[in-house]
Amino acid sequence: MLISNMGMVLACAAVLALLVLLPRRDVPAPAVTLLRCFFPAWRFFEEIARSPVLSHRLATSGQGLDAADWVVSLAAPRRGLSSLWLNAPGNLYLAYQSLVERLLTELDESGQNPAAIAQTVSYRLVQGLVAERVRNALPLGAAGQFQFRLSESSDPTATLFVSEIHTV
Amino acid sequence: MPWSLSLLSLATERLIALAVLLQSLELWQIRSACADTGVWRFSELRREYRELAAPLRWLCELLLPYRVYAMLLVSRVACAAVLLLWGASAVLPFLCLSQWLICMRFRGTFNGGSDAMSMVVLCATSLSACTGHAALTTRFALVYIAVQVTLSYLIAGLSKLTHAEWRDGSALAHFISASPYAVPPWLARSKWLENRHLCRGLAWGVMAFESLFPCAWLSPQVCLAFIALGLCFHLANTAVFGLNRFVFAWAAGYPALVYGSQMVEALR
Repeated sequence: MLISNMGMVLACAAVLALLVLLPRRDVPAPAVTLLRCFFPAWRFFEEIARSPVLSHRLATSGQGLDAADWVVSLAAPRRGLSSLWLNAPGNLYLAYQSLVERLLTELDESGQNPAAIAQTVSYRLVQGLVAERVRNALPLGAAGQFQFRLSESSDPTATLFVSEIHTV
Repeated sequence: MPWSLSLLSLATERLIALAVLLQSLELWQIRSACADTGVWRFSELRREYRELAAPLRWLCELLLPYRVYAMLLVSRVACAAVLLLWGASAVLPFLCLSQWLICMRFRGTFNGGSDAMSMVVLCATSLSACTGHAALTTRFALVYIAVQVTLSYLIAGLSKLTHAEWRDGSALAHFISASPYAVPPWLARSKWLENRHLCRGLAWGVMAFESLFPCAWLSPQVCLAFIALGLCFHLANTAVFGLNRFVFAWAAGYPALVYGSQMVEALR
């Protein structure tokens, strides 16, 4: 009986290995993306994928955006021992990073069409994320213009995407 | 001495209560990110909810605007505490539904795998609670959780084995030194990451642990050994990458794994 049970286990493992090795296809339906917590892929740190860096530049009244320096928008917060239990800033940072990665994925799928991508929810949320940082950097009541950029983490000068100019 | 079905079911419910309590407290701390002026503001997100079927869309419109979302978080903290301290299983269906709603609020998941595993445990324990902890449904719930926990390690391990960067150890070094995760600077710049043999050894250690995880079903003793290794694995991930939620989400599935190993031993 042990041998037949082990045989069943090995057969199941072989089927699973085959399923893992079969090519996969992303299902682009937005509804499936919203419900993906019900369909876990269980693939963690599987491959070295592009990890975009989000940066922005800001110009206040009288300045030109071209003269402004790019500043990295997201910085990983420092962690202490208590982060084992509660790590809200760290998990929020990871969620922001996922937002940026999703924007990059949608950019690739849209063929980098600026007019189309600027209307998507992902673009609008990243725009809002950068706008929040920009507002914190400006004096109270001041106005300005900003742009955000996605670049390669391995080479920050390798630009993947530059946004439209936005006002805050 | 085998642990009883009711004891393992109780342990599963208490552990998922702890996971949900901590997750909800974290979300409460960062609730401003979901406010009407926050990054995940409802006015933008509702455009995506139009893709859902009408009943789901109606539920999202009713329960996901910021004020209701904030009340949802408070309710989750209260219910998770009641489940953790007094074992009130009746709250499980609410925790399950609210888990899904919170994932929707963050466009699918907030923290990836930990949300998915929490969902697995909550769905299964809710089913058991809804049937008054009937033996058949509780057994089904624990076996389902145990299978999903096993698959989570097995699929992760097998998929890594198919990538050359994992087999030669360079993937591990990359994720520690150059990934977006909040790795401590002293570790990310450490000289040991340049040691190819060490990186390769650690990478194969991770792949072996994950791929061999189904062996946890061989006996309760082997199961406990794999659980101990699993806890060390997730604690290491917390220390290196800050993935604290994974510790509690997977720990909630471990009592079910013990049940699975006891069931297999009894079949022999």
